[in-house]
Amino acid sequence: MKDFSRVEEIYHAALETSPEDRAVFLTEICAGDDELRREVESLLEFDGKAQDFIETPPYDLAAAVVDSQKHTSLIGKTFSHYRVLSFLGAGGMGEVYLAEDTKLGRKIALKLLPRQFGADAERRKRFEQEARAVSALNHPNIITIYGIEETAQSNFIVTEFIDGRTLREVIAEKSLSWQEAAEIAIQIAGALESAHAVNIVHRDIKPANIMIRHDGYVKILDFGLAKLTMRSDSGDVETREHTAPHRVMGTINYMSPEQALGENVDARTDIFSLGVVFYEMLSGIQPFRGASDAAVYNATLNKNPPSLNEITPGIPASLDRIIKRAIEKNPDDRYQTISELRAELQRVKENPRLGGFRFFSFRKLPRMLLPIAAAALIFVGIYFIFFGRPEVDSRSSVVRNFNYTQLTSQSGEELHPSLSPDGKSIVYSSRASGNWDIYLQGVGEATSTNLTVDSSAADKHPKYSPDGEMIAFRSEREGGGIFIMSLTGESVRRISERGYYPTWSPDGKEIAFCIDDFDEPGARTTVPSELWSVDVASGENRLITSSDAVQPSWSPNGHRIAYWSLTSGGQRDIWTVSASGAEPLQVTEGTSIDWNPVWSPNGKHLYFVSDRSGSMNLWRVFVEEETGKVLGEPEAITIPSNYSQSFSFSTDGKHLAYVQSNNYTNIFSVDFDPKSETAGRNVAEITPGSRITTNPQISPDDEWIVFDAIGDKQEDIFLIKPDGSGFRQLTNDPYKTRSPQWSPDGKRIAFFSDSTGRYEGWVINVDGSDLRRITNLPLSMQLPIWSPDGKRLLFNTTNAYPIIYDVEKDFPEPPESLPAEPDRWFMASSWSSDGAKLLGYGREPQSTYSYVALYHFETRSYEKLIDWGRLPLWLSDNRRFFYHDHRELRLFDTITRRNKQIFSVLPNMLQSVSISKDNRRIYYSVRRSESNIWLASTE
Amino acid sequence: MNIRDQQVTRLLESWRNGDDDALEQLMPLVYGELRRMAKRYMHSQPSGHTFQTTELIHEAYLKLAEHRDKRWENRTHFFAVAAQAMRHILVDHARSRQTEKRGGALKVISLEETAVVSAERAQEIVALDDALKSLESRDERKARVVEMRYFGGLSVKETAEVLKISPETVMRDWRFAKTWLLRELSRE
Repeated sequence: MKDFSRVEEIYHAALETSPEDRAVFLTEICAGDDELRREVESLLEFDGKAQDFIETPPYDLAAAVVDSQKHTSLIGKTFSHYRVLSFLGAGGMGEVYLAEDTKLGRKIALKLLPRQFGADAERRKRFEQEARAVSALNHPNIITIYGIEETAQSNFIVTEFIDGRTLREVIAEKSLSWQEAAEIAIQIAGALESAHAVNIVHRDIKPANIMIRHDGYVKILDFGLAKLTMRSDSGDVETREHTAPHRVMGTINYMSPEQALGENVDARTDIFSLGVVFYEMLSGIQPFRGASDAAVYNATLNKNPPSLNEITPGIPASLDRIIKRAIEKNPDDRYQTISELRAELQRVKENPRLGGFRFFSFRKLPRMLLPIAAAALIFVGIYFIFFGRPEVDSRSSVVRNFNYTQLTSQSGEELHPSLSPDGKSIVYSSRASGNWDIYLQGVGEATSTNLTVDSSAADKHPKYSPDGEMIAFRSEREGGGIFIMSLTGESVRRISERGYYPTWSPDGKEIAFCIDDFDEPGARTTVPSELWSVDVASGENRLITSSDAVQPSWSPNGHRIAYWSLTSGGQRDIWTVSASGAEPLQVTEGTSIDWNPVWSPNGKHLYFVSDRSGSMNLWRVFVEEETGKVLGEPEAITIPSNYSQSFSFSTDGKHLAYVQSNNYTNIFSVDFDPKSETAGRNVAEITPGSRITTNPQISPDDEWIVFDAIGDKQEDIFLIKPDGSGFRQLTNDPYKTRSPQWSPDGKRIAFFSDSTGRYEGWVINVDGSDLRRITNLPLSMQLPIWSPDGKRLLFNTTNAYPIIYDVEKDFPEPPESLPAEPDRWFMASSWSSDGAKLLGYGREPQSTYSYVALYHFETRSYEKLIDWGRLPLWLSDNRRFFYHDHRELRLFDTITRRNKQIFSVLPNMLQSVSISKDNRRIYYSVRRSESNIWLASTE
Repeated sequence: MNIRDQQVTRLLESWRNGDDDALEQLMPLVYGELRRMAKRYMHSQPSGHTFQTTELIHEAYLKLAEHRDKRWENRTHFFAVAAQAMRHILVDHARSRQTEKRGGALKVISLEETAVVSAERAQEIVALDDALKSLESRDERKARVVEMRYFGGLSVKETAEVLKISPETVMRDWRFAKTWLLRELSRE
């Protein structure tokens, strides 16, 4: 290219010469440079033509385009409290922007919905409901939806901002190893599994909808939204047009045949699409291609893609087989569930001959380090976990054959597995018979034996003795306690009148146990639970520690006992104490929930369960068994599960039994007639999905339910209308924010949160403004209760009696405290509307049950009402109240002392209850669980 | 003078003094105002009225920075920013029209987008923008002149003011740029 300014110079000079002189002028000035001359001449040729060119600005378009144009013009704008920072892209569902949550100062993604959603109220409502179901999917591999918001101009979805690239970009840039591809596919399958479990089908699995975070974490976008963008269920003519596949989807290369044909689709369409994506990850090419849409359809419907082994030699043949099955044309020929596909992928990935590895998630490692880390982990990490002593090299080949087997698959919960010392059988608790019993099952056998069939009392927490001859367990029979029995279920003998979670000393002479039971570590509030030990032969008890301790695990050489403890700051941390009760030492620290400690059989590691990475998973830390000294930072041992717990090793360390759980807590409502004291049949599920949503509280005007939800590591407060619409998030921070309570005027919400590092009481306006802290004492403040006049707030404390603050004043000194009663404990849950009485529950020393009690302000005295019950709640007559025992909601009349069942949620668990002001509708949350026992094994 | 006015004025001054970050901050405000103005006009003007780019920009300026800031320099600089904004808006719109067409499969998002720009117009605008980028790489100032004159509807004098060059130079640049661009666009 000729020098631009030189060309211009000559051009202008030439224009100043007359046309007839130009040729001569150019010859001279270009001095034989033909290229320069041609350049100038070609420009001169256009000079005349360019007279009117772009002389008139595009007036006609300006306003119209600016008006129709959206994304660039949004930058800098603020919606609600989100300030738009930049445009991220446009997807099938609308435009996506990076924005800042100005309240929380963090980045989020805003997905602006097409305008027609706003125009059609019915459609918007349906959209909201569906989006809410999707947002209820709580899985680390699914993008988190924070809320759906509506402003005058637009509707938008607020989601987590994922700092990463789409799989489309990743594939375009480099070829993935089969291990990387399999890891990505497994993560996708895991996400789909949890969605399919609640009947949500993605329908648009494709590389552009899959983000790979910089740390390797896979996140699926636009879950179920493909369907929402179709007007599929209203049935009008226009609708059908829009559901025609080629009009809905941006890309048809990943569509299943049934989807391409516009037929009804189910979860198996996602299996097909995942197969296509996996094929592309491995080979770099799409299996169904074509120059036109028609050609792609034809390939999808009629052609089989080339075998992967031909395109990408060197990948395991089994992957080819898996993909072929996933992309079968007929859905009936495919994997029928995504779980099957995932299990197969997992198995191949773990095939040792091909260098797969297991147990350690490589998503947390920088990509560069993967190959090295993988090799290192195979030979060192896993080796250590299971053998500890690195002197026997030959064992490493055994390690590579490690795999996962599902041992139980009944519906409901199988819990507390204890692996026999030889690793050949398990005992566990299950409610399959209707009440908790203890079952024995050989590994590899499909049937189990109920060892406690003779007793109608609940039996749980079984533990094999170190010699494998006896089982210790908790039973409610004979008034409750710790029992032992033989492997046949005979020779049952009570050795302690109290206790849960027995753990044997390695010599089998003693059994340690804790005083408190719990269902979920996060829900446990009653403290302290002491740690005791009983001599098996003599039945003699001894106290090991009086500080809070649950789920003990005796170390293999007998020196120390590990347990977890609910500290006064509300933290759940792992501790160890010497078997004599001396020198308790803290092992873990922080606000994550650390629980379920288990010693490795060689005593070098303390394993525990923690939610510190998001999912409830296995961690371990080096601990010196004799001293309890912690020798390093906890490290993740990732089990392929969302929620795993109750780990139990065989003595040789080659087998590890554990529980995989899925817990959901959902909010429901039901009619109630306060006269006849009966609940109606009209039960409405307000928060569907697989999330944990609990502590619902209906507003005084019956318009809103406030509740808290446990998401990916954080707990926040949300609002929703009783009909399930209007879902919105009130708090959003990485802390545990719980138990929202409406002020009597319905304008404010009190709650407690560990944002300061300790649970403290806070108040916020319903519109999200004026957040302020109420409590100021070095105590863990929980469960706020408003006084009926809204001027005072009571907070329950874990280690002291309830404290009442004056809300109007800033940190008054000193706040009022309820009187302490020696050795008792009281937690208030409901204030009578006349202000005179508090309902609550308490516990006597040595007792494992909480009783329902009444506190009278006038006499400053407590009155015990019911032996066993939780969370009592006044009706508006200040005479009757609800309470529950986790299974049933009951009504108690304080005058007649009549005690009546209102409804039961068996076999699920009632969590918390709220009632409308007119007492005609009950709002409550119910926890449902599905837990199965798995075995990780190196044989 | 409210905070936003002050902000615009301050940013304009910073930008005039060579602070490119100020432009970054200014742009969203200008976008926003242009959009608001356009919306108002599109919805309140009798049909048939063609609202002109310059009017739009002037109105936006009056709205954003009117009150005390009557300084000519600030106004013209604002226009320059607005011209750039207009270019982006028009070109983005035209490009999205094109992508849609090329993509074949109709995306849901496009259902609501009315065809403000005809397919041919869209193609012209995109082609012009491409050529303008090519010109920009050779002579940045000429591209600015085109941007201000064409996309912003600025007069020669206003353009000269912003670029701190004489009106004659603007004329020369303008003439050469137009010719050069037309030749580029006429190539196959």
